[in-house]
Amino acid sequence: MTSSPELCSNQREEGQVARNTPLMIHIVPGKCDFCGCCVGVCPEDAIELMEAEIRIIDARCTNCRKCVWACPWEVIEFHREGIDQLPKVVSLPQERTPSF
Amino acid sequence: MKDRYDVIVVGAGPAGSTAARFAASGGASVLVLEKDRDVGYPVRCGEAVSHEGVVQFIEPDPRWIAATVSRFRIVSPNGKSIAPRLDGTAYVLERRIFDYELAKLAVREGAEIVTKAYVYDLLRDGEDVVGVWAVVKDEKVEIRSKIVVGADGVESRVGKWGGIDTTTSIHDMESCAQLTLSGIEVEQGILDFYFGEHVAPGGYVWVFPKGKDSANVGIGISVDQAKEKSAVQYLEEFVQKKYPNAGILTRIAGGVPCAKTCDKIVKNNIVLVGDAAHQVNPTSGGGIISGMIGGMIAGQVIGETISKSDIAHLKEYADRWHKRLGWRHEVFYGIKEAISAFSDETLNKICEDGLKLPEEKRTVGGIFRTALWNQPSLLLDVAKVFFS
Ligand SMILES: Cc1cc2nc3c(=O)[nH]c(=O)nc-3n(C[C@H](O)[C@H](O)[C@H](O)COP(=O)(O)OP(=O)(O)OC[C@H]3O[C@@H](n4cnc5c(N)ncnc54)[C@H](O)[C@@H]3O)c2cc1C
Ligand code: SF4
Ligand code: SF4
Repeated sequence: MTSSPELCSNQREEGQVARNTPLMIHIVPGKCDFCGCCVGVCPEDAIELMEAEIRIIDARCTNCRKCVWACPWEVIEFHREGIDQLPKVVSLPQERTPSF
Repeated sequence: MKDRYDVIVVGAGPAGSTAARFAASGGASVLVLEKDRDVGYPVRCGEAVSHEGVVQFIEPDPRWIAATVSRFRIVSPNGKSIAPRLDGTAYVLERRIFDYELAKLAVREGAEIVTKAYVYDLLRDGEDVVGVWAVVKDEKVEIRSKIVVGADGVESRVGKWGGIDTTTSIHDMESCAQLTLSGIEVEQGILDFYFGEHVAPGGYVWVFPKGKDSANVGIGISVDQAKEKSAVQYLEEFVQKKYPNAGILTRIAGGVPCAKTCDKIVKNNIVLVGDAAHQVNPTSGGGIISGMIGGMIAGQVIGETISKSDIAHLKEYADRWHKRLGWRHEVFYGIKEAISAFSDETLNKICEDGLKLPEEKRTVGGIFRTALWNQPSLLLDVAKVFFS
């Protein structure tokens, strides 16, 4: 559902990108491991990360793509054309259960 | 849970639990808020620590020790390996039990811990920080405190809310993935580290034994050196080649801030400890013990601060941290920068020159002295790096 010719996921293509509108950073639903690596590199404090929910705070995101490069799991994508049509809030269908 | 404490600690990892333990034993009333439902889980960690590190805080207990090791092996890009002795003993932990025990030590000193409690902002009275906003049991609550400790790990935001820039540069962030494998052949007494541009650019792959047939097999790569591939892709290629038929018991992502300590780790009544303060050893990426040392110093200073009723005393924490470990981490940061600039040829040569040494001289120091004679300033500290 996320493949698109505009997808530049995980590539180090720098350069000017319009700010904020429309949002170009997209979290692929169901993929996130909630590890926090992306939050650690986000210079704008634009990622909200809960136990089993992650969300980009649109108003703060500058599309710098550091989170895309940092994610070990290939969860965050950059779409040059914007992603208004895609969901932005992603939670697990059920919460993690401890294994012991 | 009350609505007011001397100290609120955000995050119940090793650093937060240790800060809570020492603040409580120093006489402060302490609340620890942890967003996950379970302390110590999920485990995002290779779980290796030194014996000397652990015994400062807790008596080693077989319930949370999966393996005991006395050597480590460096595998160079061409596959040659060298296994210097460790100065002491190291353990591979069961962190899900270890972190519980650390939390229990805090509770025993009188700290309260609440899980499934997500802190989403600082509570303010005008400019002053007077506590936190949290979601506890699906309800938004404000809880007041004189001091807020950010022990919220690599994803730390407490510092940012309090005006401390804790963003990790993509140069220093190690993007990590780890599989706990079973049904594999793995030597129990040894920690393995694989280096090379094509194995783990700007980092390494580790294989840490976790009892018979099992190991934590993980990777950390420097975000700005790894070009096209993600950490999980590098790791899967490694595992496919080396352990194609392994059972996969755990699969996790993670991040390690391999940086110098944040410029500020105290601001007014905000204190940062552990990964949140970038207290990780920047060369090895080990942050359990150093985060606990940070937590201990912070907890002690917080106890003193509360009994003196003098918030200005908190600054002591930064001074004591820098004297104890901060300065060494600056040295280690330099070593990390040097190692990550080594080409595959240099890494191969280090290994080959080391293998020419007689067995008894194959200590870490011996190997690096021989191989890096042209960079003498780096040599001596290398031996201490991995397990300090
Ligand atoms: C893959 C990997 C391998 C590693 N291997 C090793 C190793 O072999 N040896 C070693 O010494 N170190 C290792 N480390 C580093 C080590 O795991 C960390 O340095 C250590 O866990 C840091 O402890 P901490 O208490 O600072 O943070 P954490 O253990 O990350 O704890 C932070 C806690 O804060 C909670 N939290 C975060 N935000 C909030 C919020 N807003 N509200 C409430 N709670 C919150 C989190 O849920 C978490 O429980 C590794 C790290 C990774 C990622
Ligand atoms: S693109 Fe940049 S600003 Fe936006 S969420 Fe990612 S790291 Fe933060
Ligand atoms: S780095 Fe990737 S896996 Fe980790 S929390 Fe961010 S989006 Fe999820």
